[in-house]
Amino acid sequence: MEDTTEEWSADERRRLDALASEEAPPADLEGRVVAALKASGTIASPDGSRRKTFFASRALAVAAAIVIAFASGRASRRETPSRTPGPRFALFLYEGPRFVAGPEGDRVLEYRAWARRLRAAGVEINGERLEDGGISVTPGGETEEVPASTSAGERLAGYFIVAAPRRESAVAIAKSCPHARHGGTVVVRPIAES
Amino acid sequence: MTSSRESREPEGGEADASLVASFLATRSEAAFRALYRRHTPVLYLLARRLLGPRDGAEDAVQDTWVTAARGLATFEGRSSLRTWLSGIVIRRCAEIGRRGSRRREVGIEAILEREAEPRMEIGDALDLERAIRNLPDGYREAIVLHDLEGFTHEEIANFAGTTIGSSKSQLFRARRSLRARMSPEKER
Repeated sequence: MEDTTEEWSADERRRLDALASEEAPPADLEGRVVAALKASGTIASPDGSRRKTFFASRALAVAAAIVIAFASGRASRRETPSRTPGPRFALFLYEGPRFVAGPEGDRVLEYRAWARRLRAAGVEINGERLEDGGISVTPGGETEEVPASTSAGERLAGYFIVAAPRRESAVAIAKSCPHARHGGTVVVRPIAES
Repeated sequence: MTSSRESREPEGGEADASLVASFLATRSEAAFRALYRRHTPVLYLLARRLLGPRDGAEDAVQDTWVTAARGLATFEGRSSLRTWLSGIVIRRCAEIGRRGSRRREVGIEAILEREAEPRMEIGDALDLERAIRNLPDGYREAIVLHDLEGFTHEEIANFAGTTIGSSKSQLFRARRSLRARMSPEKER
């Protein structure tokens, strides 16, 4: 039963029909979508191969835990749970003079949403934001406060650990990271196989 | 009601079928990009309209393509590809809307700001877009899906998980609300 009392007049209908039927999306959206699909193996890589396997879901959490433990000087010799072997990469997020931060809370949500989208696409990724400052320990056991940024004005703001089949995939993921849009630099480093 | 969707469907369903087949066979980036470029401008506008004043259209479109690319093998062709993709956008926007609703429980200022927007004469398309954008969530969805996108009440009920009768009554109220905003002198 179609309502009759609130039907549009011919003039109103004409105005509705005249509204735009499409709108150009942001130019970088296509690249981000393609990067996410490449990273998950849904789109073939340029060499025509597809990612064949995905790591067990625990692998990345274990890898992140190892990095965190190492970074905080708590690396132990305890055996770590076994993980499915495969390439992993660390994405280090640097902020320099060109970085435009915006509200911290918004940025954290933005980065989390990005990582969530990658996970939804099948990419195993985890990461942490780093607080400013720290302590450096010299070979002689002396400690010193680490400044928030280097003399060049750069600071390491956080990192992600990502499982990717090859370096190009990790770079594609790095390019899709919102950090670059804020003017930050993402450094991709392969994690050594143990 | 005249359906405006027919005129907004891309010509060449065969082109879609060919690109989908090519993508499924090769997973080629070129085939995917062709599909993306063919449909994204419409999907992006749909997401922007459905989300109204909220952000998230880019996320909705990206999630849609990720979901679609991974699920294209299940696309049976009973509807057009555009309709199938639109369904994914609609469901994704509804999820974003629900999250937004929860967030707004502590964001009363945003509600007040929206309510205080002056009613406007619809003198041009920009004002009409703005009026639609500022409709309450359910009303906006009804107008966008039925009156702009041309979906039937049955399709809308299917997307929204509701009934045909509910879709019709929502549209009735939505039109009344939009008309009131279009003509301030008319009783709301």
